[in-house]
Amino acid sequence: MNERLRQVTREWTLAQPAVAAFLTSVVRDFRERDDLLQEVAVAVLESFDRYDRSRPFVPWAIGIARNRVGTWLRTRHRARVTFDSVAVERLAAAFAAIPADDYRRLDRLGECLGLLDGRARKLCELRYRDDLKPAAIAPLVGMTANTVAKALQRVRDRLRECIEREPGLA
Amino acid sequence: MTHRETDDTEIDRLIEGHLDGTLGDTDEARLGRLMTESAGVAGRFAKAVLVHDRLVDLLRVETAASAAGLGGDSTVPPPAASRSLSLRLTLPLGVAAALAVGLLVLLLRPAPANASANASAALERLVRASVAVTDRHYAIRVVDHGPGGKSDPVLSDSGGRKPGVDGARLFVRGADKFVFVRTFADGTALVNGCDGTIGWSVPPTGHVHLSQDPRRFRRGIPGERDDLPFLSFADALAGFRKGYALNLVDVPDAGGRLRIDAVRTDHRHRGPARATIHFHATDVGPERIEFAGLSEEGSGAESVVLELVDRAELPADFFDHAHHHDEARPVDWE
Repeated sequence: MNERLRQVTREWTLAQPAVAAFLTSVVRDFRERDDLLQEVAVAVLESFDRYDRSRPFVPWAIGIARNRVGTWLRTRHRARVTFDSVAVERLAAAFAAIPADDYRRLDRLGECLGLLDGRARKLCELRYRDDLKPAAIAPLVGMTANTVAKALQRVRDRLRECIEREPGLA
Repeated sequence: MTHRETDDTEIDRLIEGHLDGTLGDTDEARLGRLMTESAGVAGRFAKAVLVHDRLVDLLRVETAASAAGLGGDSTVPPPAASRSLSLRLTLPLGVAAALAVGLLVLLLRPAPANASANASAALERLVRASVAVTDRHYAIRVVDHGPGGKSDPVLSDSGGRKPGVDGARLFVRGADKFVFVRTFADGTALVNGCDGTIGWSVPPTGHVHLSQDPRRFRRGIPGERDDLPFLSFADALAGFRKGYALNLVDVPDAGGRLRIDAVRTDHRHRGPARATIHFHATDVGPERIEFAGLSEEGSGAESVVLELVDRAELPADFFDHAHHHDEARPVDWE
């Protein structure tokens, strides 16, 4: 691997969680998120020579992602699009401003996930592994859609609290 | 109501509802408006998405590992840094490593529950991976020449006959660049290709032919008339989405290698009767493709195998026609 590839790989590895999360916030559909993430990875590689190394990489990569999202929004007239370009700009800035430590804390999420009890874990699996919405999850777990939505919110709150704790105390 | 008048609980309700897709249009619009008005709301939203997004990847990694027979177990939490671990597995491949990071997400997409759906999901991953700007070099071998048997070799570039595909070499980069090398019996080569925009043909001697039609010099190559143009793996693999029954097979003792068996079920489809695609669970493209029962009007070959030779990075201009002939050769546009 040449030095350029090594460098772009190193930078992209660190930036990818931020870019992926930014795309998820706008696109929501996980498959479309994956498609866009791949496009952004290609664009980052192709544009890396123009990257000013004196500036932080994550905002630069998110800028590329923001441009891709702009194109995606223009070509998805029939899709349900929640955010306009101003909101997308705001989001891009918000993700770029998240401290690196917050991204690093996410590495504890697997450990925290392992601490969930059976039902919470099951809800996570149905929501994230099987990509089901609360209304679809409800009959599978004998709850109402509204209760599932609230339960998922509580699970995510617990997970956020868990990753905020000191390492080893998860 | 502006963000100043909206309390945090309500903002959280909107954010969580957005993440789960439960908000109505009015609430979605309201959330969008609140974010445009307030960087604080956008920041709160971004932090919420971080966990949501990582959960997707964590749980899908488990599913993909389980589907691939890589030791995944849905009741056991994945390692804390599974994304990083996956990267370490992918990077030594020597392909365009930066892309592998993005591609990994695609390769670890969740597979649905049954074998056919797993195969479809795996196929989708391969289609997307095949679009990546990585270089791959395949050797082509005819394993069944069909009822007419093996044709006589074409001795040289005279008389208009083209060499057969047996022993040909195929180089691909992404979805739209290829170089296809067939050899005459006298050792000279007919090189066809596309740089992504221009289709070209470089015979052993004489004029080089160029065309604005990228597909111009793909005719006569097996698969082209079978609706499965394997010069573009993405197109060829995508061709199996319709008219084929797919089955994902975990190859025993093959170090994580998998196989998709495709059997044509729609006989109106002109593709091969059967195809087998071998690939590695963590890899970015097929290692071997076998086409059996190609249509008679194609290359004449009944069954063809493409085997990956290597993924060495080719020169940047390798897919330009000029790379394959000297500057003095006359060039004709068609």
